[in-house]
Amino acid sequence: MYTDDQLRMVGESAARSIAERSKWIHRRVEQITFPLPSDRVYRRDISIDFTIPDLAPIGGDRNQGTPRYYVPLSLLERWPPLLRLDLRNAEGVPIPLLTSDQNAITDAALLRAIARDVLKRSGLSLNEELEEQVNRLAGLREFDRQPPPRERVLTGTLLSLIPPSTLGRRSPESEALADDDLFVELAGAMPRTTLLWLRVEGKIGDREVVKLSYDAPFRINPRSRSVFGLEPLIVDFQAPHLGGSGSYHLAVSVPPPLMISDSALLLMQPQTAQGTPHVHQPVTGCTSTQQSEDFVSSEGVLSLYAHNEARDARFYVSGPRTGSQGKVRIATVVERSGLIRPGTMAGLAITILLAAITLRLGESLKNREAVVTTLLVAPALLAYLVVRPADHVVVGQYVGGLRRVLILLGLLPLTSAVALAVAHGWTCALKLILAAATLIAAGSTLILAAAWWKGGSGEMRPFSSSKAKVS
Amino acid sequence: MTPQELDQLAQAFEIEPTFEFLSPEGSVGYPQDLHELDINDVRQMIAESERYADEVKALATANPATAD
Repeated sequence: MYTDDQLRMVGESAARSIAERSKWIHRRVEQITFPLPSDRVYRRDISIDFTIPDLAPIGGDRNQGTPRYYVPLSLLERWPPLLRLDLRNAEGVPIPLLTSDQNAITDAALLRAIARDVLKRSGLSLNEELEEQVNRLAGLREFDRQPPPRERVLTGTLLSLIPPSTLGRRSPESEALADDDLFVELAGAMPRTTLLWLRVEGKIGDREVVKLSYDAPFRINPRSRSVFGLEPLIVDFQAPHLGGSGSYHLAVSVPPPLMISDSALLLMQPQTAQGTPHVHQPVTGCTSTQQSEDFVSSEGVLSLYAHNEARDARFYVSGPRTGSQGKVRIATVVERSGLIRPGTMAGLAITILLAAITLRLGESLKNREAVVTTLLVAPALLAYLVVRPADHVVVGQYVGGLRRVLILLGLLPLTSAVALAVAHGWTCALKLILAAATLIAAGSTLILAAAWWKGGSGEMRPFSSSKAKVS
Repeated sequence: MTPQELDQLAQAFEIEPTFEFLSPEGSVGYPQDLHELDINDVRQMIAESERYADEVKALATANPATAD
């Protein structure tokens, strides 16, 4: 059990380290997978390779046993709690997490220490009112279970954006704090997020690896044409650490029968609260076919990589980019050999069968039993495509339209068989029913054929295609 | 990547995604709340604040006696 003083010491000692995180956070590797087919969640497995920075060990005395440190490695949203959060060290041993109250004490101590440093440089000091505000931002005084209202987020983050002419004169202390990028960005993030302090044992300067994994929800914005396989499905991955420190690796694996047809990465200019947050100016980017040459900025060299193969995509960024905003996208299509090709073949067979019956209706009526039996076999053949083990919810969303087309194709011979069975003889109505069924079957087959043809075309690679369309 | 290719890629990123895989994480130096807020709302709030300040200033200039 840690005392409040011990936690405060940890927080205060991290003020300098967090400003120099690019020096001690070396690599972050993230993997995105879909292990739960029926849930609208996905899993992120993350490993962070870092050197223990110059921090105060928890408990104080560095000479008794192996020192233990809490290292601020990421920011986590306060609410809702993460699903299946698992923290482990390099040996796979579970690592305990600070409680929310302990976290608030440590966060507040860090923010106060940064504020004191900033004010000291300007010959000022942290007064009681500002200290109270800083504590509140870190959740020390009021811990809300719900995200704070927008006004409070604005108070924390955007004060520095609103010109003094609008708000009136600020105190010299507020001006100094609003001028410091690190303070504004950390304070701005604090109302909704908390620092993830990971416990490690070792010595300052030791290289460590920690692993964390959790499930996170995803959002679906249905699009009409992509459910028929006529357009690629565009998937965005929020990856804040693209703009972080050290090298960043991201691997994405989509569930079958989806395939990744294209992948792209775009890095925007740093969006600091002091800069121009409303300008989303791309700095550099790359796609799976257009690899970016190293981008040279005043701060150093940025290297980017994106590649996709079958169901996997990989992204990589390294170089100075702290505060940048990065975007990762993939385009997915349905594997043509799994659903679309057999569906097209079946559609073609059904169309030909119905057309033959319609054109030779007289003879079909003479061999009514054989024709009806043949028509009943077609839906059974299609059933194996439609009735399959439950797909992942992501897949279901994508192939839903194609499944409906296949169901329609299965119903057409069934309807035609019923019409033939109950008909007393050649009638105009029967001919019309069969002709309509043939036309609908032809239309459905065309949709499937278009999906098959488009599956291999450049349109399914919207980022790499030189004629990228904007909807 | 040429500026034209970069511009083209940025345009391809304008297409609305079908799926958005959100991250509950953030990195220090990445102003998450700024990113989540619609910048047009922010602009509108700033514009309204500035308009209000201008109105107050105009009122004070027109009638100094009621400036307080």
